[in-house]
Amino acid sequence: MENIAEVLQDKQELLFSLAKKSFEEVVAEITEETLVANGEFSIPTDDRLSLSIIIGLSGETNGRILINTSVAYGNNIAVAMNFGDPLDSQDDLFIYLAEFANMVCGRAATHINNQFGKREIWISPPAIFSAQDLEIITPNVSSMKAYYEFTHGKFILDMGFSESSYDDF
Amino acid sequence: MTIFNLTGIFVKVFNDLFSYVDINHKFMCEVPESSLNSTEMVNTLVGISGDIEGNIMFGYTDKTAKALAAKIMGTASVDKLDIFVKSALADFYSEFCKRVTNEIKTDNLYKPSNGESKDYTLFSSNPTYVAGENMYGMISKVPSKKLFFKVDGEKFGIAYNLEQK
Repeated sequence: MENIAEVLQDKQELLFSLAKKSFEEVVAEITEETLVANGEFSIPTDDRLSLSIIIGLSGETNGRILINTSVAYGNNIAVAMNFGDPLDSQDDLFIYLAEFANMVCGRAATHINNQFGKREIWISPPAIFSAQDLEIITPNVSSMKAYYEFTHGKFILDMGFSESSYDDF
Repeated sequence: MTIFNLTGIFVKVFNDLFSYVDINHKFMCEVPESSLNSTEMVNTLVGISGDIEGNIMFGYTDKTAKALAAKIMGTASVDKLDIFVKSALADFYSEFCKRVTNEIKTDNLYKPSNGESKDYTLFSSNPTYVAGENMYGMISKVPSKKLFFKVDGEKFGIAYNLEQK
């Protein structure tokens, strides 16, 4: 009999591979670059603000998707979405990045639900934060990370799965 | 269109939970926010999905975080915000959001204001702890609302945006 922990691990790896596929597809559509996950790196925050996008996952699988980058790199994606024109304000940066996160996670939810043939996950709208020394922690979550470095900047896709159930209904 | 009184639900759940942990608390006011929210020193974000989707963000001070964590963990005091403290706070706010979604479900299933009952499917995601210097955040693309409370003499805010699909 297969170990329950192994089955869960396989399922989480499948979900993460579909999330990575969605990220790569959406970035390719926006930047016309083909993405391949890189080796591990950190995004230095000495001279730039950190920026993180958080999207909650619930349903059969609970957790969250986190996209980590810096304000400067996030701005590059927002400008690419704005057909290369500079942004008018910081509000625009957040709005474009919220749409970017919606595209990535919406597509991930579609891939995942199609793969499982049912409504496996639900996503909540993205929330975006920028700060000096930004600290984001989701307790009771085990996460998988993919690192992407391309001409628009460095991005870390972090998908966390709950070790306990947070949904009641 | 929202057919339930969200402010009333948040205030009720807030009073229930803070009375339970026995910390001085009081609802102060409700203010409309722009979509770009300036955040507090320490924040916890919970995503809501299902028939209603959005985000709820709790913003509070370092002092409130420590006082609340000490009550939840049953210790005399908490000196620093370590992972155990953050985990305790996450559980508290998860309970808060579960109660909010439960109130919404109950209100609309048994006491519908427009005469039609609706059984909502609602989920809350894992709470995420967010902190940092000079932080700015956006929890929705449309303006969200913010409720201000006083907890143990300190400012405590709940910013939320919940939309029916």
